[in-house]
Amino acid sequence: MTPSLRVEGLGKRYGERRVLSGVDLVAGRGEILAVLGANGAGKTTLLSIIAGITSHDEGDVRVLGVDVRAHPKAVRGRIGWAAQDTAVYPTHTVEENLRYFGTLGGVRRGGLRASVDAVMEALDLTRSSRTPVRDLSGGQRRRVHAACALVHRPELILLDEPTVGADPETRRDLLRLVAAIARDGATVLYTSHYLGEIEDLDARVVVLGGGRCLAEGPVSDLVSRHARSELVLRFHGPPPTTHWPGARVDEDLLRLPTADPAIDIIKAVEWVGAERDRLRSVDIAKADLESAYFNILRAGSCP
Amino acid sequence: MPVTPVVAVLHHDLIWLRRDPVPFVTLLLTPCLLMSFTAPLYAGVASRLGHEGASGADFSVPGMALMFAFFMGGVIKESIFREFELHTWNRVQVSGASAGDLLGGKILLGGMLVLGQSSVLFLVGGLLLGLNVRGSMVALIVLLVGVAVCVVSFSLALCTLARSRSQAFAYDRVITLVWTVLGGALVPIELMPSWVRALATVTPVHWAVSGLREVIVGGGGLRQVLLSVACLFAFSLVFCAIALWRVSKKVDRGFRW
Ligand SMILES: Nc1ncnc2c1ncn2[C@@H]1O[C@H](COP(=O)(O)OP(=O)(O)OP(=O)(O)O)[C@@H](O)[C@H]1O
Ligand SMILES: [Mg+2]
Repeated sequence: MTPSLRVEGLGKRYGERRVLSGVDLVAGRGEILAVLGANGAGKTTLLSIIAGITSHDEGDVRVLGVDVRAHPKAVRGRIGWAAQDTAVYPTHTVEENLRYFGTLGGVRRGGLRASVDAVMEALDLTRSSRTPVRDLSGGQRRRVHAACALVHRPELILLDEPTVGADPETRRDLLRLVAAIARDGATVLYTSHYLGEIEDLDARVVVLGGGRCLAEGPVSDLVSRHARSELVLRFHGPPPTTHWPGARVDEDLLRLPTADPAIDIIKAVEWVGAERDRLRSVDIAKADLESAYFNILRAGSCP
Repeated sequence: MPVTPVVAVLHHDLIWLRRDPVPFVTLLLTPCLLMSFTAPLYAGVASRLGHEGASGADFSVPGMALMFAFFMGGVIKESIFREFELHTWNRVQVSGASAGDLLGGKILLGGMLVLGQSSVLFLVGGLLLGLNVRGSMVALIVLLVGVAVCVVSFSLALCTLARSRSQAFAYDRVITLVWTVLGGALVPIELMPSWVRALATVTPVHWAVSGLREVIVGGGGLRQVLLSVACLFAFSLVFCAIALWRVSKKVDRGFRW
C-alpha cells in the first residue's frame, strides 16, 4: 500500500538561504508524525511544501501517492491544513466558516450539517456556533482555525502549532481529537514546541535542525536513545568534585546520569557524606522527550 | 447536488457584504445624490449641444453610473486583498478550491455588484429624475454588461499590478477619475478641447459614454452600439491578459504580494 506521505531528498532554498536539505519522511495511514525543531528550523516550510503551497527545489514529495505540485487537483479536498498563521474569516460566524471549508473540501450538502456539528462538538465550539469569529477570544479563534482543517475529514492533516495560545482544556480536547482522527485512519503531521503534547500523542517524531533531519523515531525510542535520567543535587555554593561517570556541574547543581535512580540515589547521598550540610535538595529528572530533544540538538548529527 | 467551489466562494463573499454593507451602500447612495444635484446643470448642457428634448438626467445618470461602476471595482479588489491579509488565499486552495475558483467567485460577485448598481441608478433616474431611454432596452443592457465586464477585468489587472492594497487603491482612484473626465462621463466630450477628444478614445469610459448616449438620447439600437460594445470587450481582453500574465509570474514566486 502506498504511504499517505512520502518525502525524499527534499531541498528548499529561499534565495541564497538553504532552509531544508535532504529531508526524508514517510508516514502511513493512521500515523501521527510530530515535526520538532527550533524556531526557523523549517517546520512551517516543510508543511507548506507538503500542502502544495510552497514550491521546493530538490527531491520528491508525494501526498496520497500524488505529486502535489504537478497535480494539485488530484489531492484537492483530501488535505486539511491549519497553518501557523490563523486563517479564518472574522466577519463570518463559526458555523459559516466551517460550512465554507466543508463545502470546498467536498462535503455534500446532506452531510454538511453532521460534519460541522461533529467538529464543533469535539472542539467545544457548539455554544459559539453563531458568533462571528471576530468576537471570539484568541484561543477560541485558534480552535476554529484547527476545526476548519478537520471538517471535511481529510486523509492527510497538517497541523502547524495548533495549540499555540490554547488553554489546557482546549489543548486536551484538540489532542484527543487528533488521536481519534488518526485512529480512524487519517495521517497527521503535527508541529509544536510543547513536547509534553507529543508525548501524550505518542507520536513518531522527526527532529529538524540545520535543514536536515537530526533524529527520527517513536517517542520512547528517542528517549531511550538520546536521554538518560539524572539525579539532580543542589548545593549551597559550588558542588563538590566527583568521579561519577558523566557527571555535569551546572552552577550550584550537580547532574548525575543514572540508569536506575532508585539505587543510585542512595549511593549518591552516601557519597555526599561530609558535604551533607551543604546539600539543599535531591531530585530525580526522569528521561523524557525534552531532554532527548536537547541532546539531539546539541549533538546535531543524524544517528 | 454538490455546490461548486465558485458558487461557494460567491455565497461566502455575499455573507461578508451583508455583514459590512457600508461600502456597497455608499456606492449606491453617493451617485444617486450626485445624479440629482447635477441634473439641472446638465439640462443647460443638453440644449447647448442641440438635444432639445433631452433632460439633464439623460446626461447625469449615465455619467455617474459609469464613474461609480469603476469605483465599485474597489469591492472586488478589497475581497481579493482581504484573502491575503487573512491568510485564507492559500488555505482555501488547500481546502479544495483552485485560484481560478476563487477568482471566479470574485468575478461573479463583481459583475453582480456592478450590474445591480447600474440597474438601481438607471431605475432611480427613470422613476425620479426624468431619465428617458429613447432607444433599445436590449442595447442598454448589453452596454451595461460590457461595462461590468470591463470594470471587473480592470480591477483584476490592478490587483495583480499593484504591490500592495494601498497601491491598488491609489492607482484605482487616479485612473478612474482621469478616465471618467477624459472619457466624457462628467463633461460631454464636445465641450472639451480637441486634444482631449483625441485622448478620450483610449479610455473605455469614452466608448461606454458614447454608446449610452446613442441609446438614451439618440434612440439607437444594438446596431448603433456595436462599436462601443466591441471596444469595451477589447479593453476587457487587454485587462484580463495583463492579469493572467501577472498571476502566472506571481504563481512562480509562491503567489505573494
Ligand atoms: N517566504 C520566505 N522568504 C524567505 N525566507 C523565508 C520565508 N519563509 C520562511 N523563511 C525562512 O526559512 C526559515 C524556516 O522558516 P520556517 O517558518 O519554516 O521555520 P519554523 O521551523 O516553522 O519556525 P517556527 O518554530 O518559528 O515556526 C527561516 O529562517 C525563515 O526566515
Ligand atoms: Mg513555523
